[in-house]
Amino acid sequence: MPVVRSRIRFALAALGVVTVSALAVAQTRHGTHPRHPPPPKPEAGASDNPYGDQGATDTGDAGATAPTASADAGGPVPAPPMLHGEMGDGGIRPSPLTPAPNEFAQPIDAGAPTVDYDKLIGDIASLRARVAAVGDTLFHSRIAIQVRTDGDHGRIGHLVVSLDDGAVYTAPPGFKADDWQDVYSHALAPGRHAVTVDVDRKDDRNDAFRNSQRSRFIVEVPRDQELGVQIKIGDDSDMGKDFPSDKSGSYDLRVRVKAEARNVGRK
Amino acid sequence: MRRAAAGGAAIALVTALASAQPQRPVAASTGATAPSATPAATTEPTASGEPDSRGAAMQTYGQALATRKLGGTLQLSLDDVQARAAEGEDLLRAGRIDEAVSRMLDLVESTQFQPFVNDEAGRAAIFLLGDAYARAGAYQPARAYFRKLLNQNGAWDKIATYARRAVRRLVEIGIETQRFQDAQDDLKMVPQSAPEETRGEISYLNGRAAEAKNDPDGALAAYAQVTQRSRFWAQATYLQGLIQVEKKNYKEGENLFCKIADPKRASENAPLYGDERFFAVRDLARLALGRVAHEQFRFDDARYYYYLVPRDSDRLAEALYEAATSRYEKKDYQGARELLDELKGLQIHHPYEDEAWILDAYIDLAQCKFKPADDKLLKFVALYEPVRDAARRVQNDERAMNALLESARAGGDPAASAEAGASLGPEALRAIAALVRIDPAYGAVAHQRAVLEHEASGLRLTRGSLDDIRQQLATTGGVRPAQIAQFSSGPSDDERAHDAGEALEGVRRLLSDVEGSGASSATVAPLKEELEKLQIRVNAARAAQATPTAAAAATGGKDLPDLIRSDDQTASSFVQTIDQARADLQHTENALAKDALHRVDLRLSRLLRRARLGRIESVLGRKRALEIEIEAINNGFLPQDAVDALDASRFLKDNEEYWPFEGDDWPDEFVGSEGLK
Repeated sequence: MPVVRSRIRFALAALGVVTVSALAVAQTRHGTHPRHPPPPKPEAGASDNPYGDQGATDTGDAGATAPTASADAGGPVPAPPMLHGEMGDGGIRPSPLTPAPNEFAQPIDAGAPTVDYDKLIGDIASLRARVAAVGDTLFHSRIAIQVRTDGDHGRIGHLVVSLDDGAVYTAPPGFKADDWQDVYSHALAPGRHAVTVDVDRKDDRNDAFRNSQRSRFIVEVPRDQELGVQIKIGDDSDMGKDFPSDKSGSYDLRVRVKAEARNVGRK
Repeated sequence: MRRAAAGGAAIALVTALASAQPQRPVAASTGATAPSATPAATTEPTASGEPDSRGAAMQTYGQALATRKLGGTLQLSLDDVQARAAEGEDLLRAGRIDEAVSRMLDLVESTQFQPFVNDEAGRAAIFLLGDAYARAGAYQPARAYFRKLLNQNGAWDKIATYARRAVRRLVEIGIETQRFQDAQDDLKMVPQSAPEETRGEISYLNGRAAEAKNDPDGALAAYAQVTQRSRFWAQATYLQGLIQVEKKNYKEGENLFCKIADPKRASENAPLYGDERFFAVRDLARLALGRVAHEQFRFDDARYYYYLVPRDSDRLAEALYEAATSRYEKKDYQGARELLDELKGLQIHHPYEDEAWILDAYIDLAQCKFKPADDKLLKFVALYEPVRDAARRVQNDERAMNALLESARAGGDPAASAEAGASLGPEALRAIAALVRIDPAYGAVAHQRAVLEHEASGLRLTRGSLDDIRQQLATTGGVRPAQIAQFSSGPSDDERAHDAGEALEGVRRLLSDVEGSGASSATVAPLKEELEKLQIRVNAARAAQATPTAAAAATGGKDLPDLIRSDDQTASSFVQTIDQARADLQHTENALAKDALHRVDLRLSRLLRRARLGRIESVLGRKRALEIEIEAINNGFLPQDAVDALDASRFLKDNEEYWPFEGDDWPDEFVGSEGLK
């Protein structure tokens, strides 16, 4: 490849220059003391490429040549060469920061799946939807769940509200509800049902302090009535504020539920 | 090499950006359709094809409810459809996806909905149903409803709002799932006369499909058709640029990147349509310009392009690090130092922390600051060697590994989630999480698993609801279907089995009475034997009825209890399939997580080797400096620090003052001596 060939030629030339320079320096040690090399003068119209003219037009890996002594090193001590890597393509040394090709993501063969995932999800989703629709038609009792969050420094990382152990609402990341927010409203069979709240919270002052809580509440939905369930998630934890300094703090995450039945007109 | 590889990574990044959701995972299989009323415990991936909306099952329910005179009896009006569509939109906006699906399904598959199918309100309802399904991760029914919209007569009349929206969502689904062929099939019905931006969507999809097939020329041709009226214009232009760079056509690539990276493009008057992703692509284009300039040794150009990445960009750390690298390669060590200082000043964790540290030390080496360089490298080895070892150890603990990767992906604290499982220090876990570069496929699998778990959880509620519905029907029963009572030719199998059982009970009571009346056992024994045979036959008939498919087949599965029973069996059959799917996803997730951690291991190992080599360089450099110093002293030159040591002012305390000797007579202390020599 022309680019590589030109880079090889240039690298060899540079190597020759460095070798000759080293020999010259070695000879001077036995004679007079070395003179400080004059600072290199930038030539007018010089290329931005420190490696010579070839690089500006020819392409290839940057840093493909060994640098010479530092111009501003303040002495004859040569700067350590920046290129130490294994020889790359065509004998060109890669930059010391060049990642190896195997450090990049490669396609992973995890084997053939045994389940048609899309079909399964489609089937479950449609089954759930039609059963919910039929239930909405058949039952006159209803449940309406609202959520509200309270607390200045508690951030909710994960919030799931479940009814009879089935998730009915999953909050988006960073959920916050300063006012009552409807999260579920649906018809269901009258009688006892379980409302479960799974919440993970963390302190916005120091998110290393976090806690999770699962609360399960049994409520009774009266026949032909709507049960309003209000879930208030209050957080007065001060671990993130106090513990790093005082080595003393407390978690205070409370999930409170208020349920109130009200009449609902038959549909 | 580094920049070529970085370009590859950028392709993956823009791929992820172009998708609203993570990419299709490795474990994904092709879609298939099947009537949802039948058990759906699919264990074999099936061929792709026209997706099934599974709406027929809901229609059957609607008929069964109507037969029993259950459900609403009022006629649906256009206002009702509009109101319910608005309600569905509100639910979607509030994130109540499952409710939106059920409400819209109830509306769209209702027989009363048919007159409104071609109205705007009806189309809105169909679109919302498809959209809700898509948001829930159920892409097959979603695609079916979008196709239904596109297939309608007059779908492209007037402004064709919902046809255009359906095309957008189908393209998004195609990109999300990486099933380009399915998406292209879905979009075949879009006419050539479709609006420009809609054709742009399809062209972009075709380009992505061509790239997936390793057809860069086809992709270039397709991307070139994406005009500035398309929201994908920036993505398409950027991807064209990447292809040109891959082909070593740097000039063409640069020109394409410049179209996006132009600062004037961000103004409100820019003649393009983009969303919030435009700015992310613009930052990528600026990075790409920097890399191309870097590749061509135009380091000042590279610096300028990196500088264009704004401070609020997610790519700022990347830009600063690469800009520092380019300055280092240009031997502008002070410039590189300033950029690294700026990177440190961000005070954020970023995936280049380790590499920036090594670069920092190498800049010191280049500036002959051997001691600071050695200190930095020593600290690097002390910090990252345990991290590398921890990354190796955590690969052996799948639970900890997945918790760590999930935490890194979601931006949580890895120490809080994985510490217990991995028995590693929290700092090491945080360092790994900061360094790990997660493949988009991992995010896609994690998303799939989240969807699966949500559906599995919802299925528990559904099974409970099915029980409640069955009990409701058993206790109140609704109204018995008039059709069966009036027009059926005879009793159903269920009824006949029930009748036979009742008759046997009657016979048993009679025999008991006969035995009680003193009849001989010889007379009663044959009758009892016959009764037992009949009982066995009745039991067998009842057992056959308990099999849902047999019951559904016998009755046609049209009555509500049959449908409920069938769906109950279907729900039960999902349990095993869900477990299989969960295991599949877990397997893929583990493979991807191990790969990610293995890559961290490789990178840290390389950097640790580099750090050790750097330490050797620093020792050699210090040795050489001493040699030169000694040589200079031998030649009568004092080193600068020796000269400095003669400076008396260096040894003064803070409360002392040094007056240099200026001769015996101080001119300002002798009045009248002015002008005297």
